[in-house]
Amino acid sequence: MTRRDILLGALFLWMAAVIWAAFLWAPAAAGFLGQSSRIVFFHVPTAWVATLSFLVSFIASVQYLRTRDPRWDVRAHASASLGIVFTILATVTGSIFARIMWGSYWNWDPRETSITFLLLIYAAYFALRGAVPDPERKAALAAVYAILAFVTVPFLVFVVPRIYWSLHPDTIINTKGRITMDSRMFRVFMASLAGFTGLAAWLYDLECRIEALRRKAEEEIL
Amino acid sequence: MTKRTVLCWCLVAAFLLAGGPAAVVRAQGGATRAAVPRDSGGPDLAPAIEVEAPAPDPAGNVAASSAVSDGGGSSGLMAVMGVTLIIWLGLFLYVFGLDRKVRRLEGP
Repeated sequence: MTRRDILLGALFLWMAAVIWAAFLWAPAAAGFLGQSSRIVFFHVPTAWVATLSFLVSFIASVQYLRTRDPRWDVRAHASASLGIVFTILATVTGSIFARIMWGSYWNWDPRETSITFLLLIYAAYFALRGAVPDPERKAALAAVYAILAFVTVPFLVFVVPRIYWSLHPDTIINTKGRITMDSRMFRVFMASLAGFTGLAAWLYDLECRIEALRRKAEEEIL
Repeated sequence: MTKRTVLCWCLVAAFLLAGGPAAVVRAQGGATRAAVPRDSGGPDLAPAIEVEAPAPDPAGNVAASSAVSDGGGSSGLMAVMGVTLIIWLGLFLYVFGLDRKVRRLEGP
């Protein structure tokens, strides 16, 4: 058994404990219908992982433009893929919450609208990658686009939903800079955040390694 | 993206979506449109996440504590938690298997 296997086993147990605690240990929050508040343990970590992935994609893109090393392009692509998947998951889990609390899956709330823009911006990144056949040109264009796309992330994720009146519940750190979450909920929430970050790191690493193997195989064929 | 990667993402999605039904448990009857405003305007109702259940049982009785918090829907929560755990196990085993295969392909 390698050190990696032990870490992955720990991740498995950690997430299993988070699931147990999210449903049975943490109390339901006041001001929410039924058990809808429990979605916070899944919805917010997915949104967090998505933002983190877009940040990694931005850094990798900057590094690619500086060094022209194709490994940075692989990392930028893998993290952008991870980001878009987790953004979709955050949108879907948010829609389930919206159905229960606000009566419909989609309300064009500022938070929903801004996440739609974010999805469209990053969908264009993949369209761009698919449209350019030359690998070097593709990597360079995609890197520039990823940098420009990331500029919108702070606005769409943190600024726009706070400027406009929204049905969305207060964020974990509210506008007064305080955390009003119950202590048990907060502990489970932080554990979930750590678990999802670990899961995302594992998937990112795997995606990069698969892509590296694919490129190596292509080079051998050629 | 390979077929395996797509399947892997589907498992991640299923795992996360399994958390959704928990929200539906005990939320069906009399569900009115609840406004949850922000500081910037609208009626001042209850935006912050605050606990509604009383203090935890000193003996650490989880079942009793969750029964208080969900108004008696703990069996529903148990079922949803079970499904989520099974999906997590499936997802983990699948990705772990994939990880092992990639390691073998990478060689020593």
